[in-house]
Amino acid sequence: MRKWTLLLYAAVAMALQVHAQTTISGHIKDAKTGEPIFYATILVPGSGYGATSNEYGYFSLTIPNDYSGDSIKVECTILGYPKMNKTFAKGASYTYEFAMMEQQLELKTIEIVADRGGLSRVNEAQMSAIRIPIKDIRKIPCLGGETDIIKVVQLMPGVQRGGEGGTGMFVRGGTADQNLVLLDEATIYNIGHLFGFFSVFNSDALHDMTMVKGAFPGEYGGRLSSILDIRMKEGNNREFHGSGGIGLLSSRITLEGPIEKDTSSFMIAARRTYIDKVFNAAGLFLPYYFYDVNLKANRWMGPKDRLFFSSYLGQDVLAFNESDVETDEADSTRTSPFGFGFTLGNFSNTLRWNHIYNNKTFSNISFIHTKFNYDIKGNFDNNNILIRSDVRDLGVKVDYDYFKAADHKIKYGGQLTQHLFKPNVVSTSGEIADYLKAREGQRLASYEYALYGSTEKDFRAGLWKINAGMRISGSFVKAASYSGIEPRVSARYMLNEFSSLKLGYSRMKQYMHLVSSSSVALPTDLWYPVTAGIRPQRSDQVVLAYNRWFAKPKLQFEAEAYYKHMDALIEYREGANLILNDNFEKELIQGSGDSYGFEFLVQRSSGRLNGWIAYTLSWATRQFDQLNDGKVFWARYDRRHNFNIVANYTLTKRWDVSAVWEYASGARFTAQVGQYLVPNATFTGVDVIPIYTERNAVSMSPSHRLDINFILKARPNKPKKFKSEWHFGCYNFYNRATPFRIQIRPNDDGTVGYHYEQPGLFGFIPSIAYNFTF
Amino acid sequence: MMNLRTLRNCIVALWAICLCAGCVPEPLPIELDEAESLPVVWSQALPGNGAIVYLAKSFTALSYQEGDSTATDELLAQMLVSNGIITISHAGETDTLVEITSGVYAALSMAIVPGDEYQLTATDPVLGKTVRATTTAYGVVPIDSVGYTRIDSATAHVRVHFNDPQGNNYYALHFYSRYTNPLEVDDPLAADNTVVTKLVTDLEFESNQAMFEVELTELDSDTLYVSLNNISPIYFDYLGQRQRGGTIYNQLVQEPINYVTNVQGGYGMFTLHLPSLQMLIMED
Repeated sequence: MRKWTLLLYAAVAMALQVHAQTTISGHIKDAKTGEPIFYATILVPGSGYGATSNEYGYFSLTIPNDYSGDSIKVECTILGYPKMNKTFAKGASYTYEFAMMEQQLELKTIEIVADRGGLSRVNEAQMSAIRIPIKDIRKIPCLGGETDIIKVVQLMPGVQRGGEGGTGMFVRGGTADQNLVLLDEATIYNIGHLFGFFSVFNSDALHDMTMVKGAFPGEYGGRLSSILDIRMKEGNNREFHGSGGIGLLSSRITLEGPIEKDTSSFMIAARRTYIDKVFNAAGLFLPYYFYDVNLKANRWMGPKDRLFFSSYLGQDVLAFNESDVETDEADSTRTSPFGFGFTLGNFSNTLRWNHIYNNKTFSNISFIHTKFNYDIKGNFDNNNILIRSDVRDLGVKVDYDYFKAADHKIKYGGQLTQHLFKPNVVSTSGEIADYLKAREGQRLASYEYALYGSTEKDFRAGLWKINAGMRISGSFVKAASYSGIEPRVSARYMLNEFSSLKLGYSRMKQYMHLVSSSSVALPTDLWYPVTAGIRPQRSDQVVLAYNRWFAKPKLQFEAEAYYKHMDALIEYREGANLILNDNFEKELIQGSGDSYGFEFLVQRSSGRLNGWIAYTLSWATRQFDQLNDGKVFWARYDRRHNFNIVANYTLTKRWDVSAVWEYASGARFTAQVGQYLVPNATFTGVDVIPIYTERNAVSMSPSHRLDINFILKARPNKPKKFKSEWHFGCYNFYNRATPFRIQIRPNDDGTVGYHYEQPGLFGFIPSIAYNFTF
Repeated sequence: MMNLRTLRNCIVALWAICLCAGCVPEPLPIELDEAESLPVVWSQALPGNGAIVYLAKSFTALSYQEGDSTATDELLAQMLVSNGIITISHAGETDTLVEITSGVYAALSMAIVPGDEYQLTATDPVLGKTVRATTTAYGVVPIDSVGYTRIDSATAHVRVHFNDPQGNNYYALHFYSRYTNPLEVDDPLAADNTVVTKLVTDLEFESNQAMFEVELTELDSDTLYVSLNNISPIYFDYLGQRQRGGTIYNQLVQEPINYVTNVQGGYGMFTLHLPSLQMLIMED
């Protein structure tokens, strides 16, 4: 009896203690647009109690009853906004919305309170994360004047670009398919338009972007090298607005506004390139275009429930028809003209439900559909051929945030996705059907699951912060199943108020791969799951980081060292044919890789002069028993040095200038360095057999390039709803080649013989764009 | 308000300006360490007893490029090595080959014993380098019969029947049209796309009564020569590499590869196999 009494006493005491706590929860939003603000810091100054808003702008901060004072002053800070204060009485629970008013830049009084915002990077346990505000991305000069989020990410440390102008990302020695790109939680399989030269993301439709490349938290998985989490705008829920732009390559328009003020809103954005129309107008013929459409709507269903629907559709279309070309050489005997083309695109839909259970528990459930497909069509006379491949995902994802205390946060959830693959479906008619049989291809279904849990807690009055988690993942496919445990841990130690040391370890597993025989994005690239013969890829990565915030010049300094070991990497056999090959699994081989390096970042996110300087020193190797005689070789994009300067400067009230200077060691190349003659197999001729270096043994010349963009804004003294700005830019200002290969060419100085040379793709390219908002 | 036609014209004009102002960057020069010149060996067993060995040397990538027709004959002459010293050892005996023409050496009385191992050494007196290679001799696998089904004047379905000997066997079958009679080749540099080579291992046969089927297209004659060669595994790999690496697609998008060789310290292939040959006249 006595025991039960004690237990009851303890329970009541705990309940009283809980009741005596003060919990403040709610959302942090932009006051003007109603858009949520992610990763804002909410803290009680001088107490050490604080919290961060999640990726829906939700926060919960619990202050224990031993906090001195009758009231609690809470401060909300985020880079780019003045801080906001609110005082609450002790001992109650509050739901409060912080509506942050964005700081308008004035030349004489530029003062964005960024101290606390800058410190949040120092305070958090997360490292190896890249966050760039979308509004900053729009200023940065890009190829053809097209704002491109992927090209900007490539300017950050640890992210190597592939070929010049491409959207391929090679993160910390990984491959291009080791990056999981999520748009409102839906996987986007193909991130490049126009063979990868432009990203599929319309920056006008985007709200926020986070890339994690190491020390992955438990909720992220499925790829080895990085997670790029892109969120679309929700739409202004206060006023109707629009924005758009007319560039040399494409035009775009975005409309957003409330459906019901403060309750529901929408955003729709569309973009289309018109290079086909421009060529047509100039009397030339280019039967290619791309377009994309983003759509998002959301509605508060009550104070605790909110629904979101987002959708993305993007297509690349090449449609060549001989009848479209006016030519004198048209063969009049043909019954129908020659035609060739392809369509390539992504289609994704996400339905999300945010639910607030209580002032400490927040959940999100997402239903996700995504599809990536390509069709290649051709016709000649009465012959028709259609080659189709697609991958379709259906999935559900559940995430819970439990804000247990000011110094303790728990996150858990799970995910189940069905992947359906249909590679190389061939449909033919006419005489060609005798040679190339129609076939359904090999249909494959895989089920990928993950369960995760992580806890983040402060120790010793905030001196230490540890985030520890575990992810259990797996995949079921026909005749095989795989599962694995992915431990994740990161620890932060505060050296002083402005600097911290961090150490992290994470294991990642990847259950699907891109089967591609080229570094260029081709319509024939195939996504393929693990099978009985192809194991999941796995990586183990260790990161050591140092973060420092310099309050006076408002500079963020980050230095990181990493080592990553990768197993079961995918390559194809030498000479493998992947096109129309139903059994291409036989052509795949698996090996290992190592990468290590150092990354440095100095970033200033506010002020008249802002931007960043990034430097990466890195090494990346591969080893496959069947390649390069089993010897270790350099990865294709093993670039020793990568140095980028990105600067935005406000010249006057009307003029801004942005510049990017990029220096990168040359990519690796397998060059021909000799040859010999031998009789051919039938002794009817002579073969010239080339001699190459070892695989990727040659490093091409370093490249460096300067891009500049001038922005002319509307007159600030004429407040109008319609505002416009002109962008005058140039890519590769001093016209230096960025080598993408080594080729042998005849001497051009009149002497007999040959020489090596390294061509580049893009020289000096001016651009002009007109952007507007209303 | 600007109408659409004006807007379109403006964009076309801006495109034109940007295209005119745009530049193609000059390619950057680069110096590469060229591969060292090494001896190249190639061999062929002769019907009866004997073998021919070709001795040449490798050369730099900048000496010649495919399509440079003016350099070919001269280059061929330059690359062949005269006055080389070539020996083949077998069963404790060593034959020193005789140079019958520049770069071509022959052993005319050397027994080719199927299944036996042969060691070759070849020395290039100018380079001062000696290479070594070892191979197993492969005997003739006779063609039992060749059948065909004529599909049209340029296409035929051909079946080659032969007895697959015991052990793991690797075969190269060559199909020659009349104009590329292998016994009457007089222009070694002439390319002929009517020669088709097919590679097959005996794992693909259900019994030792092997049948190989192939559909030949673009035939320009009703006369067909079929050659069956039982070859070494490494030569089989080499021919496979040549076939896979030879397509335009593969050359464009795949990583280049160095071809396998069994020549230590050099390049080429030392192989001793004997073909069986059959002629077929296909009637409609």
